[in-house]
This record gives sequence, structure tokens and C-alpha cells, in this order.
Amino acid sequence: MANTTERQRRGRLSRKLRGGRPGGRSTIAPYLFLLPFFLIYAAFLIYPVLAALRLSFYESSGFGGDTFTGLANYARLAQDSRYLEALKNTTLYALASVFILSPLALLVAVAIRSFVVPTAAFKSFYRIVFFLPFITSFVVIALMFNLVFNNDFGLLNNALSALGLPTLDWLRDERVALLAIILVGIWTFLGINALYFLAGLQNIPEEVIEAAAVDGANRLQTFWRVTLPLLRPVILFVVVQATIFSYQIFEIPFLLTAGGPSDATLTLAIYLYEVGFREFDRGYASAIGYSMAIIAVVLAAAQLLAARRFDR
Amino acid sequence: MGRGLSRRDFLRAGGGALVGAYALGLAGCGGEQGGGSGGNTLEFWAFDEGRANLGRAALKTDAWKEAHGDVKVNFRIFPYEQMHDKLLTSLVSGKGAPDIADVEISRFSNFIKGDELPFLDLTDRIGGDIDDVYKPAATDPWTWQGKIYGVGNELNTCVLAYRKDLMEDAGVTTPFETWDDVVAAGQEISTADRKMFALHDLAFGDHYMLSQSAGTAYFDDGGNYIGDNEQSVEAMQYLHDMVYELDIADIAPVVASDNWYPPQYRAAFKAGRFAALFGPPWHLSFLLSDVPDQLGKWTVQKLPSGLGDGLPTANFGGTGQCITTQSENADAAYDLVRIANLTTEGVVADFEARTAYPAYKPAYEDPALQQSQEYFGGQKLGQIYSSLATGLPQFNQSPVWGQATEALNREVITPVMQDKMDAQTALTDLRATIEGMKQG
Repeated sequence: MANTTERQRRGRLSRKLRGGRPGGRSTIAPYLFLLPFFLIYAAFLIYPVLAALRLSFYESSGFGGDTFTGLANYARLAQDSRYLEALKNTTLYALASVFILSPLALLVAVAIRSFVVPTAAFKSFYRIVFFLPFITSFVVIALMFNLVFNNDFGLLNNALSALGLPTLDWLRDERVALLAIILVGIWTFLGINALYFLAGLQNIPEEVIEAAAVDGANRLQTFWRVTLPLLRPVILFVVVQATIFSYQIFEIPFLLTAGGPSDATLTLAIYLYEVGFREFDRGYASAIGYSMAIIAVVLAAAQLLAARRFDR
Repeated sequence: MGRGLSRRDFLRAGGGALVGAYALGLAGCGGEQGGGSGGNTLEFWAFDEGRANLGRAALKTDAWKEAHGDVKVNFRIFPYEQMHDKLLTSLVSGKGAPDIADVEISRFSNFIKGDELPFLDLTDRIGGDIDDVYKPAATDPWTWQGKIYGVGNELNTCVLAYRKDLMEDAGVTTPFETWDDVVAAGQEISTADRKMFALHDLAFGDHYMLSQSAGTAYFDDGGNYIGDNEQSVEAMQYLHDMVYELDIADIAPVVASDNWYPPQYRAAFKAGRFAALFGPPWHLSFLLSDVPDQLGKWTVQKLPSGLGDGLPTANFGGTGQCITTQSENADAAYDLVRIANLTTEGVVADFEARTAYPAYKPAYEDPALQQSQEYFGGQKLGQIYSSLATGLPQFNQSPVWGQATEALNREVITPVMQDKMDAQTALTDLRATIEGMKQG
């Protein structure tokens, strides 16, 4: 009797966890497993995002109370010359990511997949070599490129000298400092973007390429008329994510140039950090953060819309 | 019969959790203050192992053992930026701050923005001990509106240091009386591979020291910007001219991540590329650690005259120990600060550990600080620094000090030292930037 009651109790508990239906599909348990994630997500992401939104409408600097100022922090953005300089630098970096990094990544992917790299072993080797910078710590990358760009004994200046070209003080000359940051960005992110393209190339059916060849298309024609159009979804993905991540670039310029010299490499994320922690102006820093999010969303949406229109 | 959890229920519960988390967060921001370790424990944050050892040395003294032998002190060392950022956020949020924190001179300005300062006013606790310290180094940088919020131990008396062996070989008379003498010597010993000075184009320190020696500062005692006055412009122009007109200096080999004396700067001195420098004791200390083979070849003297008022020294750098308002054991915290900074036993321990010349006057009677320094040709640096310390100019803090010096680097030092702008225009234009900064 007691055993029967115990079995019934366990059965009820088991049914509860499965959603109350004997033999039915489980409904509570998956949600219970998901709940910790959502709680942590709410506390450490949603809450800060909402709190920052609130803060962006307040004058909140130093130690003391906050004062509601409406859109004043957002209005200030348009008149802040440092913000505009950071916006310009970040946009140039993003343009380089889209128009230099992305085509280069496609070129690398095509080269790895093509006859240029003959054996499977070499293909794997190059895939790893190009991907390694992406998994290298930004601090290590910064230390390494500090040596590469060194004015006196740097690798780059030595190479330029050997070629009889003029040398440059890459990280301290405001005319070329942003170019140096872009070069490091390309070096770092080329591999991951090439990997996206490689995945896209692998998904193109061989029969389509063979059909083009049968129809008399040469390699270049096949690439332009067959491969590239079929890669359009991957290209769109690479361009959108490159744009979004470019507007968040922080570590490389912060570690290499700290946004200098004279703001030549100041990015929006570095400026946000400076305003938040060096100037201790939390309200304005929040507004800068939201401006970055709005820019990224608008640009990504524009790219998606443009792609959709192009598809039609 | 139990009902299954529908997606709608889950979303509802999730929404509730979200609101709960938000409410919890808000409560966290507006809740009662609480920090430190409380009870018999103190939390001490530092950004440098050597500075933490200053606190650790205090724990070994009889004075500490007698008064607080049962108090445990947790020392936590973070990277420089991270420590100050964490300190700011924990003090703003009202929770999680340490009892004692090291606050670097240029980061203190952030903590005096607003009406409610997050550090304890130590003025009364220091009391008569104030007469025993060189105030511009010990308390001025952590003083705001007449109240002292921190105590520093490092006497940052700036001097001129140079390679005496090179000067003697070139037949140059030393010590230098005026900057003209320095320039003449520089022209004598400078070659394509060697210059007198390595001057900074990413950091304001050189200008800060020379403008103080010329008799001025960046802010007056009312917190107003005065960095565009005649003495300041003269100092900036002089630095520029040493590189581009007089040809006795090169731009210092530094990087953005260490814009003062990174390894390549030290290596350049080791390679004999530079024959002189001016700076405080902490700057000179790299010679002993990184350039040991030049032992006995260097000498130090007061700053020469001939630039503005020609004061014999200047003040540069410093870190102070501050006690946060969240501390629940302020008496023990202050005793630690006092023993570390305001007793001979404490500061001599620090001197012996990292050759930090103290701002505490009585310590200079201790034999350790009267010893001659073999590296500097047998000179007694303790005597030199302490005698110059009486002439240290007052330091005027400002809520925008940190921001202003960042702007100075950006808008004056880099363009002028890279020969892209003249000193007068750059320093005058900086006024608008600094006056546009928020004070609170």
C-alpha cells in the first residue's frame, strides 16, 4: 500500500515536470533548464541596457544626484568635435572593413579553394594560418604590432628602407596612424571572414560550376557569373557583421595608440570609455553608447534592404 | 491536476523576472552604502606591487601590531586603469569599495566631481602631523577645497640628471647654472647618434616640470586655467626649440601604452643615445635598474635657472592612499595610512624596498636616507631632494585636472613637439577646451 502511494506521488511529480499529461511531451523541464540563462541575461544584459537608456536622458556626472535633461545628451553629440572626429575615424575603419577587408577575405577564400593551393594538406594549413590571428589575444597583437610599427627598429620600416622607400612613424604620425590601425584590423580579421566565404564556397554545388564549364565559361567568367551571385547571402552576412563590429572597435586602437596622436585614431568606443571613466560623465557616455547602437542598426538595416532590392 | 507551463506563462514569468532584475538593480544603485570588509578586516586596493608593499610594511611595525594586531588586511592589486575604474564604479554604486585605495594624482580629479566626495576627510586626523610633511608632495594632490582626502609618500622633487663622464670628456663645466649652459653643453656633446635629452611628444610631463620651474602651473588656487601665460608658453617653446632649433634633443622613443619610459626608452639610455634627463626620483630610478653599466657616471643637481622665475625644482607625479566613505573600520584604516606614510619606520621600509624618497621630513634624519648613492658618483640624494623640497611649488587640484592634462597632450604637446603648431597658439586654444569641461 505504502509502496503504491509512493509510486503515485513520484508519478505525479514526474507528470508535473513533463507538463501534467501522462505520457505527454515534457514542457516544464526545458524551461527550467533555460531559466538560469534568462535570469543572468536579464540581470547582466537587459538591466544594464535599460539602465543606460534611462541614464542617457539624465545629467549624471560625478558624485551626486542625477538630473533629467531629456534629449540634451543626444543634442550634444552633434556639437561635440571629438565625437564627430571619432565618428569619422570609425566610419573610415568600417569602410576599410567593407571595401578592403571583405574583398581580400573573398580573394583568400577563393585562392585556398582553387588550384592555387594544390593539396588538401596545404588547404588546411592556410586555413589555420589565416585563422590564427583571430584567436590571438588583442594584447599580444598590440605588443607584436608595436614592434612591427616601431619607428627605429620596426619590421615595416626596415622593409620599406630595404625597398628604398621612405619610412614612417606609423603610430605617432597622425597622417598614417589610422592606416596602421586598419592594417592591423585587416591582419586580425582576415581569417575569420575568409572562413565565412570558404563555408559559402563549399555550399555551391559542383554541378553548377561544371555546367558553366560545359557551356564554355572560363574560370573568370564562372567566378563573376556563377560563384559570386551564389555567394550573395554570405557576402551580405560578412558585410553586415563587418560594419557592426567595426563600429565597436576598441581594443586594437586603445592598446596601440590610445586613440592618439591628437585623436587621429579615436574611435567611438574609445571615446565612450574616456567620457565614462576619464571624464566620469555617465549620462553622456550612455548617449554615445546608444548612438553607436543606432548607427550600427541603421547601417545593417540599410544593407539588408539594399540587398533585398538588388535581389528583386 | 497540475497544468503544464505554456509559452505564454513562461514569457510572463520571464517578464516578471526581468522587472525583478531591473528592480533589484535599481535597488542596488540606490541602496544603503556598504563596502570595505568590515569587522576585523580591511580591504586595500593598489595598482602596483611596490605600493602595496608600502602598506604591508606598515603591518610589521610595533605600532600597528599593538593597536590593530587582530585586524587582517587584504591587499588586492589590479592594473592601473582597472583599479581606478573599479573604484569609481564601486563608489558610485555605493557598494563594494575597499577601505583604502591608492589613487594616482591624475585620477583623483574624477573623485572630486560633485557635492558628495567618496573619501573621508582626513584633515583632523592628520592634525599636527601636517607640519612634518612636504605638503606639495604629501597632501596637495589629494586636497580639495581646503580638506585633505589622501596622503602620499613619494617626494617628487624634480632634478636635472646628466652623464658627468661625458661632460668632463667634452670639457663642459658642471654643475649647470642656467639653461643656456645646458644648451651649450648639449651642443658640445650631441652627435647624429647621441643627444642631450629625450623629450616627450605624447605626455605633458616635460612641459609640466619646466613650466613649474618657470614659476607657473596649469591651474591657480581658484581652479582657473592659467596654462597659457607667458611662463608656460616660454617653457613649451623652449622644449620645442631644443629639438628643432637647438638640435640638442630628440623625441623620446615611447609608445601610447607607456608614454613616459617604456622599455625602448630605457634601452635608448642604455645604448648611450641620451646624456641627460630631468625628472623626479621615480623617473631616475630606471637608471639603476635598467642602465646598471653606467654606475658612477651620472650626477644630479637642481634645475637650472634662466627660464621664467627659474625655480630650482618642480613636482611631478604621486600616488596617495585614500580612505573611502564605505569603510566600516575607518580608525584602523587611518592608522595604516598614518604608519605607512607619517612615521619614519614606515617610510624607511618603503625606501629600502623601492628607493622611494619620502615626503615625511623626519625620515631624512635616518641613516638610510643619508647614505651616498654609488650610482650617482657618491652623491647623497636624500640630502639633495630634501633640501630642494622646501621650494616645491604648491599643487592646485581641479575637478578637470585629468581631463585637462589629456587635452594638453592632445592639443598642445603632440602638435607642438611634432613641429605642427606653435606653442602660443596651442596653449591659448586649449583655454576654450578646458573652460568647456564640466566641473561637477
